[in-house]
Amino acid sequence: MLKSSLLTTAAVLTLGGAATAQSIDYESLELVFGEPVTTSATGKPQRASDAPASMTIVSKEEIRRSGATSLPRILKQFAGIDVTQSAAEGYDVFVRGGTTSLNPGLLVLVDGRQVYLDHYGYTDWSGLGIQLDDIQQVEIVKGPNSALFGFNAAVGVVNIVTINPALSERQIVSAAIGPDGEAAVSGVTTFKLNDAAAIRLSAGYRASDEFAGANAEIAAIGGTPAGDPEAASIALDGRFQLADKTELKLETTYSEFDKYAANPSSNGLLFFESETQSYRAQVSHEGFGGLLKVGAYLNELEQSFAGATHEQSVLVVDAQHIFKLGARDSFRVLGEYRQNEFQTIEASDPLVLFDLAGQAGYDAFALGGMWERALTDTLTSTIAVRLDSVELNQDGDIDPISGFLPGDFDQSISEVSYNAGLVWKPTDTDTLRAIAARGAQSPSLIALGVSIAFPSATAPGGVVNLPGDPSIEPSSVSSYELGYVRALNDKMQFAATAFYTDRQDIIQFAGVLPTSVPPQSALVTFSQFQDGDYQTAGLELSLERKEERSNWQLNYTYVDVQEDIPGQTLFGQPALPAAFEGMTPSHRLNAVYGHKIGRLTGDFHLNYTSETQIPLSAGLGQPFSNRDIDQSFNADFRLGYQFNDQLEIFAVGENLFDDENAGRFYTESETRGRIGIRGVF
Amino acid sequence: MKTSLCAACLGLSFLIGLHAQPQEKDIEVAARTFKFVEGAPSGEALLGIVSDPAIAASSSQANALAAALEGGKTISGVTFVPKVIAPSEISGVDVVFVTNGMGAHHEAIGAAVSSGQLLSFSTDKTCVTAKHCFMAVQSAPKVEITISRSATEAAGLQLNQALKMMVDERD
Repeated sequence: MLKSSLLTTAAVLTLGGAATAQSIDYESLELVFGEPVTTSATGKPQRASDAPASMTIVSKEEIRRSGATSLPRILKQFAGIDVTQSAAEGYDVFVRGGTTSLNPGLLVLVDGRQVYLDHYGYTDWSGLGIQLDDIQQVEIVKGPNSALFGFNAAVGVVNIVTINPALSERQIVSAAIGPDGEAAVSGVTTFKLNDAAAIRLSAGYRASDEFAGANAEIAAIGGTPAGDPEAASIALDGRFQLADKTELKLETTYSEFDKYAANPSSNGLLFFESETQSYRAQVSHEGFGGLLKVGAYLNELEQSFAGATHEQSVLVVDAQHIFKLGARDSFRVLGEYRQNEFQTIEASDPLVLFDLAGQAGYDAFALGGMWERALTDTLTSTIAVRLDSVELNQDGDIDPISGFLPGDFDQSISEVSYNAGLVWKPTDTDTLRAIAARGAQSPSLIALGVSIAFPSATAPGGVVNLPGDPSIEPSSVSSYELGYVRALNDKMQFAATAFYTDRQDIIQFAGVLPTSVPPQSALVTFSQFQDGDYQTAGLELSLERKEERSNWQLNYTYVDVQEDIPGQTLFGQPALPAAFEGMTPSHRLNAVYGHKIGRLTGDFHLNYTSETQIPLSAGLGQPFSNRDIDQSFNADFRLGYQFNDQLEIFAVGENLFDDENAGRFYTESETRGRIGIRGVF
Repeated sequence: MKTSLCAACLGLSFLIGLHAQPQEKDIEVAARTFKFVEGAPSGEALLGIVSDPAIAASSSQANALAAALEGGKTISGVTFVPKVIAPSEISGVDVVFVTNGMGAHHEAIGAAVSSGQLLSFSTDKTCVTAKHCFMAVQSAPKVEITISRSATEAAGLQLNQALKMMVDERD
């Protein structure tokens, strides 16, 4: 239906002559400059080495040769990035410490469209809606970038850039199977309808057995494993040349995924059944002295967990103009409107007491700007500032236990974010970077004010309630870093970055309202609380060499976390304690090596992560205690044999040392492997 | 850890700047920008290598480049057919490469490329800073592209906005 309407639109939109795409031509620009090109640091296109941000750019070739089926398995190879795996597909990605369950501070985008889920405040990596073969490159910005992307880019941004069907051709099919129920199949195709219209269509399916360790943990607290992880998705992306310098992008995605993931309110495992849809239209125009983009997108999520089903939607309308004035000054101006809504639509248990037809949400307006100035031939300054203003809204019954009145939900929040950077290139081979930034993490919709009641067999009263707290404000992140990059030759690079981050007014699960704990109240009421702060300081070192036949990378990350977060209580016992310090590993070391001999390619990734701790409760209402996670050694590999120009057969192994701590979670990780075939036509 | 990494850096830094054929790589970088420049040549293009036999640096670069491109060479969709020419012979070519050490001729070259509405480039940045060449390229140790706004306008060229934001522009 949608495809047919896109085709009809394409047939109508044949106004342009020779296609002059207004999208950034990443591939051609990378060829010109001999290094990746990014727009994720300041919004303007720039060479990765010019960006006033600590960045890692992962190429499509690196993605293919990783052998991974999930993006977090690729991201964990790089300095400054920590990945936990609570279940077979239960990944969380963290930047520069602050590890917790479901990371709210990392904004994940696909071509600038958020796939971050605002209701809990996290990204489900199974729900990106695209295949790994759709990806042109992944741009990771380490450190706050709220001044560019707004709330939730509090500690970092992962912007996944997909291939543009107007500029690149791709026909890829891939299939793999493994002994642990692993099955993965995906396909990506691009085709041109005429000189002015191009389409990318992709789809995929992935399944595996759940980790036996995860099922054992669920059984240990009296639960029954709900199922194995399974994900399917389809994406359609059309580019239409409306005029010589004007392009329209129409895109839709659909994904469905069932899986266990960490429950941020207890660190237990929850089985999430999710369905997402997205629709997007964007016009890009080269004119008015620069690059103008105007667009809108709608993301919808329906998700069931713990016996209730919820709906969340986010509508974003935005416009930005990037332009250069004179030879030395570049600017970006932007405006954005955002509407978020969240509501519970169904509960399986009649014990749920409240009117669940109510909803919570917010309207947000943002204005921002960026100014980059080449101060001298070797020194460039960048300053970006953004103001986000949020109006909270809520209707439906308010959980009486919460003590809040309707007027309490008439809240407004305004936050200013900034990024300031100096990039100095004293020689052709040396780059020094100094950056200061302030970002903001908005409270999740659950934290702000929606009444959700879950049936619970173990809770006194039979129901667990999350009433929300409209008085919670964004937590702030201040970050400072110094970076040094030296190009040792045209293939080899050394990089070092020292950073310090200060997070204030932490928002965390498992706070308990004083009046809502039995026996004073019939229900167990979870809430998020806002109190305390933590600081991280660390160092990232990397040395890498890339050439056609072989490449390698060594990187090391040191992070020290100091937290000061007052404890809360639940049933008179300490509630889920702050755990940023304990859950963040101090040391991570990665070695990546890839080699090509004739038709054979081999890629290996070794990882060492130092010991951590995770707070865990034996069950609802039971005291929390820290469980030690020992240091881990992890090895992944991919071996490929290029059968002919089109077909490659491959074998992949993950967690080869069978280290039960490889996932950095209390659930035991497993060794996994698969063999497959990949065709590029 | 840090010490050993730095030692490794120093040990390997001798490789910096080792390139077999810098002229060809420079032409490669320049040719790849052509798709981002309205008015740049495409297909087969007669490349005028502007040289003065009396200037050693110019002459040796011209000869090396002409030899590297002998018989015509296709780079990034443009087939360069080389021809070593004097500044006075610019009007007969499709695209102009200005060899090193031609400072004394820059003004005349600038006037000729403006008059012929030709794209001109060089590995000598002074030609761009003097506003007589459209573009200067350097391929090693890292790619550097410098573009003269005045020469761009004079030659009737137009830069794609993305490239414009990524290069070192001069008046």
